[in-house]
Amino acid sequence: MTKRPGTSQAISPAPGGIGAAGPRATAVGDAAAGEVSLSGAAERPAVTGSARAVFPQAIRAHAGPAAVVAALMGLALLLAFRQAAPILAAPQPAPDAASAMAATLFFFSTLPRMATALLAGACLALSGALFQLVLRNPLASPTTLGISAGANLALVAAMLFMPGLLGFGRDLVALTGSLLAAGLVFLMGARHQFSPFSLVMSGLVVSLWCGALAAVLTLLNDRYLESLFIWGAGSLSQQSWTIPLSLLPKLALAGLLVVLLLRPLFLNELGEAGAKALGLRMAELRLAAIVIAVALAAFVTSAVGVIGFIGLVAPTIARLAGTRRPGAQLFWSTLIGAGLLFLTDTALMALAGQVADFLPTGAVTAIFGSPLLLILLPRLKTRHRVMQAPAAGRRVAAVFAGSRGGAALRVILPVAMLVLLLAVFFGRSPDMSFRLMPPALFGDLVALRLPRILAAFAAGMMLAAAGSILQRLTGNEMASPEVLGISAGATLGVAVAVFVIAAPGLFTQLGFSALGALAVLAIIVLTASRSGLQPERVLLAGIALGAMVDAVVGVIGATGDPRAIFLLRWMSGSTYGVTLEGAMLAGLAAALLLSLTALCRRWLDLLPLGASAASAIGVPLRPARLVLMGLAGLLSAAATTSVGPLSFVGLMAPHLARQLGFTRAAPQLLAACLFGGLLMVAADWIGRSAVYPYEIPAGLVSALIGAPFLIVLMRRGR
Amino acid sequence: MPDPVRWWEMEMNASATPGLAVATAATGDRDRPALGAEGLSFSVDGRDLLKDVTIRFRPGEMAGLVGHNGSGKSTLLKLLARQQLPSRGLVRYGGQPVTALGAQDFARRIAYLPQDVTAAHAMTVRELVACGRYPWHGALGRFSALDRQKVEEALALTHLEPMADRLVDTLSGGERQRAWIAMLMAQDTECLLLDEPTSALDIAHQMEVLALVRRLSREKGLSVVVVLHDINMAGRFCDRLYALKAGELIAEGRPDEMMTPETLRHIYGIAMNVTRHPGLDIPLAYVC
Repeated sequence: MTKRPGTSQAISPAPGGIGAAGPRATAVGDAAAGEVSLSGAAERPAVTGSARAVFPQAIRAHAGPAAVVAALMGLALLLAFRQAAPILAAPQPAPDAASAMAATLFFFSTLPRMATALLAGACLALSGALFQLVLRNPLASPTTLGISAGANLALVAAMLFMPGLLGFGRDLVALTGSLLAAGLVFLMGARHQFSPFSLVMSGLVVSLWCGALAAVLTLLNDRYLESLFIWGAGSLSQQSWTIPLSLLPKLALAGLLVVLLLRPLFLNELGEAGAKALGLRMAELRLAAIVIAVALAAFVTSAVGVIGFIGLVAPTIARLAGTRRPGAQLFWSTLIGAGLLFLTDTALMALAGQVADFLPTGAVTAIFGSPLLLILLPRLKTRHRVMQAPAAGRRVAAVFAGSRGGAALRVILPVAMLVLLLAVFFGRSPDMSFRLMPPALFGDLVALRLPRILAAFAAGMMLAAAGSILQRLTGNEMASPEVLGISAGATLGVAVAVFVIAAPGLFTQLGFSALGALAVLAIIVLTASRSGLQPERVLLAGIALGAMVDAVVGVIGATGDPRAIFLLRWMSGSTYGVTLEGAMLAGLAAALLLSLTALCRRWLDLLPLGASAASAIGVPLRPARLVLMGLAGLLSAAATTSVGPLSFVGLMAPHLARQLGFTRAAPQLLAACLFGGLLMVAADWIGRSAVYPYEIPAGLVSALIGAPFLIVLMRRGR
Repeated sequence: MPDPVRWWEMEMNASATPGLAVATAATGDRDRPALGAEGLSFSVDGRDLLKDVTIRFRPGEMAGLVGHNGSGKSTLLKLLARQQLPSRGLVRYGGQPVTALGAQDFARRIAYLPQDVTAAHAMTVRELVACGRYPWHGALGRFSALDRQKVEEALALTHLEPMADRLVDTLSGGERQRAWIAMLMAQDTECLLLDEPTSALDIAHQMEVLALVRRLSREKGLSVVVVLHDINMAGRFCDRLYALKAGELIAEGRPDEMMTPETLRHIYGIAMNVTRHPGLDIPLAYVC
């Protein structure tokens, strides 16, 4: 298929051919400009004006992001100047004590705060851009991969247990925490060959778990509560230049290292096989880039706490503004991130005035950032991954071979009965020993224990069912009510109830939490409906909303309002206050919703085949998805009122069921519900007897024990 | 051909002792390094995807790997390209085990085209082709005039100059495949490994890509190993065919030796017959 008669000429480097490349090479950004040769001119008539033709193209590639940076910075400077103007206009030296104070405040608090905002924003954005490039994942960022939450947890733990460690090396503590979190996330992500979606899901689970543990720690140490809250949610307020001056060299060093990685990162765009074939050592590149990115995020968390979403949003804006090459993306993301956080912070200071010191900017960026993510969603390319057949299930299922889990059920049911009986009749007595309930106290103790056990069991079942539905619906084994933000919506509903009505009753709580959950669900469905409720979009919208709700709750917590503590206790999921009435209500809701779910088992069987296959068999996709999502939302809302939003039961129980070889929808649902109920009852039992006479909320117990257990399970499943 | 297990020893001797080198130079291919495998096996979870394959590809020839689905063609190619490490056995290049080469050294000698080339959508064609120079300049080295020259040569060889500044995203399937092959050209290796370069293309583009590869192989004297599904395409473009079945090498030879009803039935497990192309006098296989 030779189009030219003398192709051999093409092999020998004809000088004209090379020269002709000159101007076009410049067009794509190479520094050296080539000479314009005759053959080049023949090919491209306008080549005489090569400078004119080439220059705009080079500029155009950078015009978009430059305009964004200019807009952000301009606006921020305008706001900053309004604050600075009266101080700068005052005569020097200050005529009176008040203006001298104002000047001191400006130079040693406001200015360092602005510098911190710029530097922290730059660090986070560079970190996020680096993650996105090296993982080829538009959703990666310190927030979504759980890096910041890991650093936060490490710092909280150090502050409470080994304060000396912080003086010794605050950055080191943060770095250890985030490296551990990153390691966990990548360990889980490796199961899916680092598919963008699964990685972010794992990141979210780790993030939620770190958040839960940090919450327990603060809960157990009330007196530090408020300041930890403010710092944990990312406050930029400064008293000196120490922090910005310590961040600057770190950012500079990281920037230098990133420059050295530019070319390998460019090659990385070819994909794993392509880059490897060119001799790129992928493992080393990934390690280097991830360590730099993790370190950047950890330094920021150590300096100012968790600042959400800058690392996700800044690179996304850079991409949408038209940057294409990795170098440009890194550069412009860094500047956009700096501008974004600077603008957010100056706007916050201008609007909130004196309260600004106590309103954590990190929470505010999350409140602004997540809607932005929602808007950007339709532009992100995602690909549906059909759920893999459970490889691990084979081994265990072989024990119950041929019965499709029927035999397993025959084992599980008696065990379930036994656990329930034990939970009621076995416990700690006042002399700290474990013993069976004495018959004399039968009436009293059953009246105390039965409601909470019933509530825990019902809630566990409902969460497990919701998790099963969501996992089948999305084809993603990391989907669950917690991850989807539905539980967070329920929390927000209760938060509103707490602040609007002084002492909301049980029904009011339930009503508000259901409203919150359904509102979140409705927004998710609305934003994702353009894609025909494509599961990936639904999950991403859920993640964004969940983060926003968390941020709002964080801001409420940071105000130090006593009602915030009630909210925190509610979020930790205590079954302590459950009345018989509440337990009956939970049981009733469970019975009703679970039987409705059972009616949908055919859909649940067919949907994991993938959207096109399922609709080809005749599953009405949109209605089916709508009904199932509605069910999942109601189930989570009802469960959340009794065990709190963070239990991970909705994630664990379906997983356990699958691991035991229950692959079809109906048996899996049944097994998952049993497991969910049992897990919650066990968590409740541990919570009330582990540190007797004190109590740990059941929701937290199940989260703390459950998440590591889940990680082990997932590793074994490989 | 000598005993297949011993070919690399002969080759190493040939380069070491001048007398032998002269004696073998007459065959035309002994002076160039040959790619081959020695007792190559690969298993996953106890399942053998490749069983003890010993093979030697002749330098300067276009070799086709054929076989049924799951016969181990792509696995063999991935092992040859060092994309995966063998469970047992060695890949040799010019007599030396390739494990002795560094990642970039290897990529200067052997280029590999993955089956999935959907990545790199946000690059221009020239940028994509320039990626092929990485093994030569490395992460930090200067992008020299020679590098630039090789990129332009590669664009010229594949007739991609008119679309050099277009985004890879905007190319058709055949053009995209050509752009990736241009990248392999810029890599300036002696050997190309192509994993089903025609799998997603219509028949005209299949012809275009394979003709291009064949022309490049002829003009630059490249050794090419290509995995192909279509036996007729393989027979038409390849100098030699290697047939795999259930992870084992079962036959090799020139296309007209291989394309007989008996061999084809052996390879694919279905009754097939062979006729002649009315215009070109090449064998054409069809299912009975």
